[in-house]
Amino acid sequence: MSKAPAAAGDTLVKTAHDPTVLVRARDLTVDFKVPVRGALRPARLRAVSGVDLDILRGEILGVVGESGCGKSTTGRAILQLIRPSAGTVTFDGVELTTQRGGRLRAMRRRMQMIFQDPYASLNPRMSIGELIEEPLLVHSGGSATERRARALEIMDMVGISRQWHGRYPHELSGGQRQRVGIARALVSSPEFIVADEPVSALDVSIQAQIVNLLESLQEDLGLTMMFIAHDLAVVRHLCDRIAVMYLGTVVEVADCESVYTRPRHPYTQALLSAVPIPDPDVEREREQRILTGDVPSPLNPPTGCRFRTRCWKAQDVCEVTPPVLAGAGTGTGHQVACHFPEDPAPSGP
Amino acid sequence: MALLEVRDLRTEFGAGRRAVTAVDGVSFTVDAGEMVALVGESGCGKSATAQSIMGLIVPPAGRVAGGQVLFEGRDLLRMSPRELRAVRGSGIAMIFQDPMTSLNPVLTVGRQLTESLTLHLGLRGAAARARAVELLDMVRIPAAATRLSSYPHQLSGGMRQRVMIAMALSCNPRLILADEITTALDVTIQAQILALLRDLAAETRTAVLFITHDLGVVAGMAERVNVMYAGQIVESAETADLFRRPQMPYTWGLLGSVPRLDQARGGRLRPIGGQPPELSAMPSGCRFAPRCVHRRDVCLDSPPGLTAPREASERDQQTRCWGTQDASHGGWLSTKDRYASQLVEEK
Repeated sequence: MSKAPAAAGDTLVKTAHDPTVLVRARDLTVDFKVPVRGALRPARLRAVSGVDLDILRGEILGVVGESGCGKSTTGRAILQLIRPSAGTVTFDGVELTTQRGGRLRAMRRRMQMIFQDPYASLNPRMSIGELIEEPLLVHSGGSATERRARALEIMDMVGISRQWHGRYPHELSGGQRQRVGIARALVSSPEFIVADEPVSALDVSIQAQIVNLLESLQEDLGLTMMFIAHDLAVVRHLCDRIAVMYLGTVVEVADCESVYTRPRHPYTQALLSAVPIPDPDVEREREQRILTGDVPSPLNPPTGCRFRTRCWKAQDVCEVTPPVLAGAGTGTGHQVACHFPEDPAPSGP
Repeated sequence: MALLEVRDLRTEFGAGRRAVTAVDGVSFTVDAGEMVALVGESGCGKSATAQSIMGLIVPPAGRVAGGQVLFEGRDLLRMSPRELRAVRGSGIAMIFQDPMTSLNPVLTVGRQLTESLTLHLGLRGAAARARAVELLDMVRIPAAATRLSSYPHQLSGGMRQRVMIAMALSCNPRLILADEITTALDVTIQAQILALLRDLAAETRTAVLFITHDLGVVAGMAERVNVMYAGQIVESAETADLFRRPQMPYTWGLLGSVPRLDQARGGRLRPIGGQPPELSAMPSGCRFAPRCVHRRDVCLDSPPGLTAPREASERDQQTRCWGTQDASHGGWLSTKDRYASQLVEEK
């Protein structure tokens, strides 16, 4: 049966500082202006629309969804690399959206980003050593000798041989470049990392090396991580909890096992069934739910539930009322934004 | 007779002393109506193989330096440009990764579809138009008749790839080369396109050479798989055998590197250490040997051939590996080693 509407409130309203939550986004909204041919004013594209997200201390939260769902924009808006159009982001109890200049920079030392494309994100004119030391210069990290020592230490940690210190990015392979990207993110000892598709550009054998590296770094350093990806198998392997996004909204959040074994939102179900599994016995037996049509344009999203145009469960109510992300009582329960969600797992109180 | 038989294909890029061999002695067959996969990582030569088959490797950038590509018994590499044009389209069609670069941006979808119908089948005017609508219907494009007047940029990525499939099927080819056709697409759209290609190929009994880096896609599509590494086929098997009884340590490594959606978080992945060799500096022995944890001296000294492995001699399976051959040639690898390398490491 569908959930009681009253449950919607208790999950999200709590804004008092909760020590288990490192990053909290509430009603996060990001608009972009896009020029429209023949129109005087640019159109407003709402890339992220009222996202509520808690990232717990020491966890890896996976954020998944297809291109254009707003997952990268959400990550950037949390770090204030893109200023949100509305909503709040608190980091360790400090409101970020109102911070500017030096105070924001001081906060940024504690939160860093790993980018997708290891070819585009490294300045080709800087040596590996300079690239890794650069964040320390920005965040006042001691003398030249100290910076060099710290860079070498971090290079050991991420598995770049020390002999590469004076060499340049073009000499490195994609996997090694991504290690440099990770080293740059970690050199200032941050607590929180947003990793935006860090392994998507890499071949599988190299991808596995980087996934393992991220996994052990997260454990050893006690990092909190937001892992943005479209590869659901990698996310299942790496993450503690998962948020599924569709067209700028979060449709489902839960711990990894619940989402993969008992997805409640129809979109999550379809997304999971679309992922090919490298095993011909499993692959040919399982039932696939193939969605019809394409993702609608974010310039003109559907009314009500944004997924309804592709949903096999859609009713009249879905066209009118946008569903609220709601679920079991606490911020870490299984939350789903759907008028007709699958029943939650039978176990549990 | 096989529909397509590639024999000892060699393709080089660059000139003179700086020439590198991207495809080095590749041989495989595709039977009529069969779906065969070429799988491997970037730079392994899988796309260069497809381009060589289609005659798309053009000097001075590169050239096919040796071998034969027999399509219905005739060698495509020895054909005149005119004969080759006749084979392309009606005999073999190709679908590329990025439909935006293979569709003409200034012509409507209808114009591009009817062009090949006119060229290869002699259909004109209303007949060509009717067939074009039929083709768009077949690839499940809604409102096909009105879509004929759309330009490629007005279509989504998935729709464009459907148009490409429609164009590929338009002249009833016997073979389709599909080169990473879903790599640029989102996973729900990928599922649509794969299901479409699978259904249409089966309905029209068209053979498909399916080129991909994704083992998951291979598992659901292909009947036979050829794994490529550093310009060579290193393992060839029926799909079920490849996944159940992979023989070559590189294949073990590939399978151990991909996390599976249907498996809970269990432990660390088993990646392959190091990286593939540069084309300009190929190892003299087995090309995978520098990264192989099971290697012995012979692997570094002399290159193994593609032969039936000891453990699967009754099967139609081949590997390029000293360790899997019979005991007189080495043959030290066993199923035990495979399990050891595929199991996840305990945390």
